[in-house]
Amino acid sequence: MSAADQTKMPKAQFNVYLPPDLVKSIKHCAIDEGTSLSELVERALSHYLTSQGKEAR
Amino acid sequence: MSPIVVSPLRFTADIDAMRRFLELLGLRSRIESESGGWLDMVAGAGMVALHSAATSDSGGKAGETRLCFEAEDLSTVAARLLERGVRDVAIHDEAYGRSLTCTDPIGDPVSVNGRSDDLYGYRLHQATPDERCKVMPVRFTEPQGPYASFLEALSLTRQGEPNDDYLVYAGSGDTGKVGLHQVYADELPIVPGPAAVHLTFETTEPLDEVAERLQGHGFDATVTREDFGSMLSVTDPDGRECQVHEPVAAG
Repeated sequence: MSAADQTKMPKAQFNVYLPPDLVKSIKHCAIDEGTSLSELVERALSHYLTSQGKEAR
Repeated sequence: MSPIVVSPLRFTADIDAMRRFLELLGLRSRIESESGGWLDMVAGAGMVALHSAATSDSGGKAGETRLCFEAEDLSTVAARLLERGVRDVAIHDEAYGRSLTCTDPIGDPVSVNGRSDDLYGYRLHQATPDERCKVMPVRFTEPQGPYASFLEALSLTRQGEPNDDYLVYAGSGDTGKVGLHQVYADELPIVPGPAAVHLTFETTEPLDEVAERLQGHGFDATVTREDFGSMLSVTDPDGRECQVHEPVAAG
């Protein structure tokens, strides 16, 4: 259900509230890309930070 | 509370070969991913999920089987587990739906997957399994130890008379069973991993007939008479020993 392991860094759970349709779209996108939901959201958030000239710490 | 279904997860080197093998035992495919790599199969009671070891992001090795469950209402399951003192209970979203994880008395993570109405990326099959065959994964741990309370927190109930070596817990409404077997000195028939179980079944079909069917498809099935009843032993496509037992007497 997912691509190869990304990193072996410890992960923390991150709860947020999102519109249900957005949640559904993100889940479908993860399935289309053959990745896990966590990996996809991690990539999206890292990409956003990079685009803002900020680095994930 | 909606019944909790026993649904061990097998990581496999060859999903199609495992599917054909389990079909010979009477299981039938229910849901499979369109991209391949994942499939679940229902039995007369309980089910088995197959996951390609090659695409596992949790380190699943071919032949490794983990204790897992499925339930409709994860919130109720979580509340009951918390009330009974089960550790690390959390519900999270996955691409395929929601999943509950908790820590069992051995310290391993055990998952309860929710049922999702959203089957995007998956195919649903009309599954009509052989009702005689029931899923019964076996966890190697002290049968009279804390694991019994853990299974009871998951709403399973003990079947049969207390036994120092072996106990069976059944889901309500004929939803599969879990065996607890004393650890023994010889090598255990499991691939070590989190919540590792031995993939085992129970059937009311005559075991000689099951063995004949398996042998007809090239499997090395043998039936032995043990002091606890008759047992079929066969090497599955992942090279692991799989057992099919006569039903235990209900207590």
